Amino acid sequence: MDMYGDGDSSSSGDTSRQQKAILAQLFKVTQTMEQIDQLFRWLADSVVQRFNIQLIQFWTSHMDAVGFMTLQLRTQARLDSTLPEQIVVNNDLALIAQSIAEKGHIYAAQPVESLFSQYRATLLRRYGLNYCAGSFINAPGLLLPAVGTEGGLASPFAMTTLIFAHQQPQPNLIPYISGIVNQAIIIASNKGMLYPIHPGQQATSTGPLRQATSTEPLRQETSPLTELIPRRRQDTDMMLLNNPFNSSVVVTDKRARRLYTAIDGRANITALCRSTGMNLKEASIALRILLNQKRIDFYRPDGQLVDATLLPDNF
Amino acid sequence: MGANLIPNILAASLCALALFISIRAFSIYLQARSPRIFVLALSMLLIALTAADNFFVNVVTVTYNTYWFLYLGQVVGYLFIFLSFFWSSEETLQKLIRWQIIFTALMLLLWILSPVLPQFPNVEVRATLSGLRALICFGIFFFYISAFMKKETRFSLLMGIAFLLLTVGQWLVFQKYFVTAGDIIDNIGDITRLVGQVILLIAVIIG
Repeated sequence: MDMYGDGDSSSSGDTSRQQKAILAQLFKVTQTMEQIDQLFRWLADSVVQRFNIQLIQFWTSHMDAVGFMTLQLRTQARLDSTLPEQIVVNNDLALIAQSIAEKGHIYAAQPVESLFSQYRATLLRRYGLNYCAGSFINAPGLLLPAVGTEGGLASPFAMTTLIFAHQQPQPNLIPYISGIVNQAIIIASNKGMLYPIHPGQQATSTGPLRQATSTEPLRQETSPLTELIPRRRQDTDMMLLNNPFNSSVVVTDKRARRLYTAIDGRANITALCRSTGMNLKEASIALRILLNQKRIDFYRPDGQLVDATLLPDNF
Repeated sequence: MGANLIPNILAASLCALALFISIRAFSIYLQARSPRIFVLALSMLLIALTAADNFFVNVVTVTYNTYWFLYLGQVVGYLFIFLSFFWSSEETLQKLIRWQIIFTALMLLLWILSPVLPQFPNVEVRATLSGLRALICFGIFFFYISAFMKKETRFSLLMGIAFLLLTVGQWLVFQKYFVTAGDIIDNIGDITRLVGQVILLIAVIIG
């Protein structure tokens, strides 16, 4: 058996058998497990060994102390233990995981060139990671931060599975692996490895990661999004490229214009609602208009810029 | 055809153009609240005043020197437009506005004090003040052309050409202090600036 295994081109029947074998084991091993990370670890190792794929990664939702949801690499397993960490733990893979989460469905295996930059694809190919596939799952439950993670809150469960293979996998491989992961999460939920959502909180439904942020975090009573500070964006290129005297400069929506005028770079959303006399719903609509028109950015109270793509549509 | 015909046309057109841009910019600022629009509005207002003063002293002979106000006023006006392209943060631009208001007030004070201000000590001082405008306009031209290289828009192209012509025109005017055929160079420079102003107007209307 060479470094890349001889099972990447396994038949559909083999794949089905492997899936059944893993599922059978899954029911047994989870009897003694208490932590979800144990389950992730076992699942990742089993999938890599059984299906002879090079790498599997589980990217799970993580909510930080101010309530911002991101994806974090929770667990990974490699067929080749000498595979350097920096090749497979980097922003490029995080972005792909995020993209799959936003689309919310199974991502068929593709050559890495079609997903990554030339540079990243070359690096991945050098280590035999020629094909990439993924799937997304979310569930009605809260996932605690991984042990050893500083800060963080329980977040609505959402997970992207990324798989890398040396050869083009069978078309049904990803659905089979996705099925195993789904079953594992159901078991985890039944065993209490995912915490129940508080009765007052909005439950997640099947959908992309961003919708999950509408669920209130376990430990905070007020929405941390209202503590964000909007600041006007002054884009030099916009002023140089576009005529400042045409109508696009002026904010046409009356409420958005009123809010835009009130923005002083120091007041958070709560303070702006107070000063403009708007309720939170009106303010959120106005802010969304300004955000879509690229007139404002959001900053946390500590001064860090917030990635606007992570904000829910209606905050 | 008087000797001051071209300078008068130049002064009158610059005054009208700058005033038009200033009024338009102020009205947009009231709605958009963009600091850069305010900088543009105030700069153009100051430039309009210098042009109006220039026209006035060409038509009515005065014994005192208003060229301090003319040159320095235009330098300050163009300089703040140039500086507004350096920064993107709202806070920094607000600081820039505060400085601009201070400097504009100082220029107005200079204008009021024109009757008591001395003549230029030598031609070099006058030439330097005149030439500074060309330098700053070149800086503004550079910003517009750089933007055009990134994304080719009609507005950035027209503004780039306008400020290039203003630069060349002012540079020619600067040269008149050092060459023998100074008047011809001066007229060519004025015509070049006039064409630059026409393109600036076109840019603002249809860019």
